[in-house]
Parts: sequence; structure tokens; C-alpha cells
Amino acid sequence: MNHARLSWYALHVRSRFEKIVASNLSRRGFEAFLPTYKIRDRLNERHLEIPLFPSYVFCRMQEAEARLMLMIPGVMHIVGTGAGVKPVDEVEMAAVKLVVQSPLHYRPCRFREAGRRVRVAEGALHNLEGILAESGNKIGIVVGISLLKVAVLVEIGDASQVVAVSNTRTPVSRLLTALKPSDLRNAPGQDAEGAIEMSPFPFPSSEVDRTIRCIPATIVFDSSRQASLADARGVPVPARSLLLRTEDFDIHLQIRCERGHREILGQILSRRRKDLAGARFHLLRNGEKLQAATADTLGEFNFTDVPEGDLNLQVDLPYLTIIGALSA
Amino acid sequence: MSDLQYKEGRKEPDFVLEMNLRQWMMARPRLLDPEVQPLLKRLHEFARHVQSAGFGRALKNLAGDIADCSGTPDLTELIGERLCQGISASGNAIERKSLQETLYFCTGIVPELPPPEFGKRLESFLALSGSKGLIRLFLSAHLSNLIFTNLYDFLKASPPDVLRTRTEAIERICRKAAVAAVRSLNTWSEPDPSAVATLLSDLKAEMTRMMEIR
Repeated sequence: MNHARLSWYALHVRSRFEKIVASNLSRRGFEAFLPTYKIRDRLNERHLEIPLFPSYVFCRMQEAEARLMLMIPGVMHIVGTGAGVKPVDEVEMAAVKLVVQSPLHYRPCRFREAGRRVRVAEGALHNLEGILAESGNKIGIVVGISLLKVAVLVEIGDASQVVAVSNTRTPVSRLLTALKPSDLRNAPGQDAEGAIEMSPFPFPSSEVDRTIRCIPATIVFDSSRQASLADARGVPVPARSLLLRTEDFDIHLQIRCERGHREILGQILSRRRKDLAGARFHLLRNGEKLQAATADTLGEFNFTDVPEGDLNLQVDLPYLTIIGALSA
Repeated sequence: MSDLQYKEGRKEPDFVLEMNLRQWMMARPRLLDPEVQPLLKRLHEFARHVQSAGFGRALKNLAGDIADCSGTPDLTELIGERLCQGISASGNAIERKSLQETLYFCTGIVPELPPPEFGKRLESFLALSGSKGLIRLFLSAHLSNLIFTNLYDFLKASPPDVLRTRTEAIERICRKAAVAAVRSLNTWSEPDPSAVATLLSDLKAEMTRMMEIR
């Protein structure tokens, strides 16, 4: 058998026949893969191992062997697309295998096409790439099989274990390009969820996964708008102060201009989170990153030689991205 | 509600599947191949033997030495092979598959059962449902397997979510047709050729009727 031409195919099987089909495939010399996960049977107080993707069993074979699979008890069909039988993406398959072989807790979840792609930097899932998901204080990565539109969510304990990778599906830069500063600025009282709904995202709102957390921050305070008071007192305004707010995050900015050089000093604060050290800040114009800075242990950061004109500020945290517009 | 609808909640019938099933049925003067007739007779006899003499004896009578059978996969393969033996020269691959699935269905769809447990479950099933129940399961499985095989090219062009709903619709329609068709078994004493022919004719009539329901 020429192993170079072998691919993973998804067999669609009769309900509850997954283990039978996997066993039969192995008996016939095929490499079979049936991802399972454990659930607690509350009635009998024991753990059950059930298929992660019900009605699907994976088999490594040649395309020409696909039709023979129909003779295996329990197999109904081989999954394909409009163009016919199609193998499962090797990278996706390897990712699912890595998840089910890991000691971490995982479970099936809704398939996600869009979201923030991250890579696990260390541990049992080292180099695993997927879409970041957050539920309460838990951080997880969603890994899916796009052919079947099925996915598994694996919980990772610490957000610091993941790093952002380029996202070909929903690039943040595309979101920023489509986002005008006026869409974000001076909208006090508008909550973040509402802002997402109203933002001209280049994707339908249904494609934007709420758990992915790409959220805009709005300017709730701008000292330049209070200039009349300062002028009345005859006090020169030394710097412009801005406060961007989204959910429980406040980003304090001070824009200074001395001898023709502009700089931004800032601090990010959160009412709930303490793990803001290492947060990455980017200054962007039309989606292009101009400068980057990293928050210190106090959440402070700074940019020097800031150009004039409309700019966007992007904050990358392991579990979400915050986007704000500002005029420097 | 149609059995051919494929978009849950939207109640839209799957006209493409319906058309393909109609064409498939029209192209087949007999819904099931002639070799199914003797197979049904053998299945009925095997079921009766299990009921009267117990699984162990019935299996020994059918397959001889079963020392090599370690569990469900071996047993289903052996029984399927022996029941299909000599029925036709084509190998009866689909019939054997359908028989194996039938045996899995009536023993609880458990991947690995030791032979005594397998026999106990089969005996319990037959005590409750009789040979009629076994034949109903076989007809349902076999009809759907035939459709999956014959409509392979049509089904392989379906996207995964549509494929799932289409295979489920096919299973459902075959199950209902088999349930209705085995009603004629109530008048059976012994499965003579004309009785089996009537059963298969009823199955086709039921399939046709199912296609008409909207």
C-alpha cells in the first residue's frame, strides 16, 4: 500500500455505531480514529466515554477505497463536498488528535469559522493552533474540522500559555481598516455590546463570535473637549488626557507634545483582571501597525515620536483585543 | 410531516432526494434482489431455532464449531456469512452487511459482547419480537444499505450537513416501510415462497406510499 497517498476521510455512520465501525476498520487493517471524550453518568455515578463527533469515524485510506467502506457494517457514507468525497484537512486532523491525546479537559463545541487565532506556546498542546474562547475565568482553544463543521474546545489553564498568530480568517487589521475613528469616539453611554452591533465590521454580525472578544473602546473623557474651562482660568493645557473605556477596562492616555515631538504615555487598568503585564499595544493607521509597546507590571506603556493625524490604538491581551480610536 | 424534509425547523421537503429515490425505485422492478427471498427464509428459520433450542445450539447448527468466536464482531460475521452462503455468486456483500447490522441492532449495538451475553440478548429480543422483529430490522437495514450504495454518486455530492439529514431521512423512510411491510407476517405459519414474495411486494408498496405522503 502506498502510504504517501493515504488521507484521512470521515465516514458517516449509523447512530451509535461509531465504536463498531472503528473496530471493524481496525480488523480489516485500516487505520481508524474515533475521537471520544468522557462524561459523567449521573444515574450510575460513573464516567462514560462517548464520541466527540457523533456519527463520524475517521479512516486513513486512499480515495479509491472509499466505496468499499460502504460494505462495513454501520457505515452509511463517506463525507465529501459538492465535488465528491473529500479528505479531512491533515492539519486539523492532527490538531484534534493532539487535543484528545492530551491530559487536558475537552468537550465538543460549536464550530467557529471566525475568531482570534492563537498558538499554544508550551505544555501538552505545544504548537496547537486554534481559535481563542473565553468563558468566565476559563480560557480555551477551539479546534475544528472545517469539512464537518464540528469542533472541540480544550481548556487551558493559563492565558499566558498562548500567543497570537496571524489570523487569516478575521484579521484584526481588516476590522480596524473598516472602523472609522468617528465610529468609536465620543460615544459615552454606549456599551461595548452595542458598539459591536453598530460597528461597520466587514463581516455579518452572525459571523462575529461573541466569545472571541474583539471589542471597541470608546472615549469617555477627552480633556481637549474641556478646553473652555482651562481657557477661562488662563491655564495652559500641558497635555491632552484621554480615557478609553470598554467593559471593565480603562485605558488612560496622556498625549504630550514637546519641541515638535509627540509622545503617548498610557496605563491600562482593569477592575477584575490583574494579569495585564505584557499586554501589547499597537498604534495603527488605516490598519497598518506603526509602533508597538508592551505594558509593564503596572500596566503602563508609552509611545514616542507619535505621528499626527487620526490613529487607532489596538490592545492585544491573550483573551481579547481592544480597539480604540484617537486623534494624536 | 414529510420524511424527506432535511432542514430542521424550516419544514422544507428535500425534493432532490425525493426525485432520486423515485427514479431509483422506478428503475427497479423488484425493490430487493431475488436472493433476499431465500435469505429471509433462512433468517426466519434461524430465529425459530434460537427461540426453540437456544442460541448455542442454533449457532452450532448454523456454523458448526464456534470456538474461534471471541465476541460480537466474530459472531455477526460468522452468522452473516453462513446465512448468505450459496445464495448467489455475487458475494452478497450488502446482504451480509445488513445481516450484521441487524444482529447489532437486536443485541443493543454493543461493540464487544462475549458469545454467551450476545446469545442471551438475541434470545431476549426474539422472545419479545419474534422472527418478525428480526426480519423487520433486516429489511429496514438492507433497504437503506441498498439506497446508500445505489445513490452513492448522488449522496457523495451532498455537503456534510445535507448528507446527514439525507441519510437520516432514508433511514427513517426505510424503517417505516419495513414496519408496515412486516404486518403481513402475522398470517405466516411458515415462510413459503409466495408469502415472502408478498412481503417484498408490500415493502415496495409501502416505500411508494411513503414517497407520496406530504
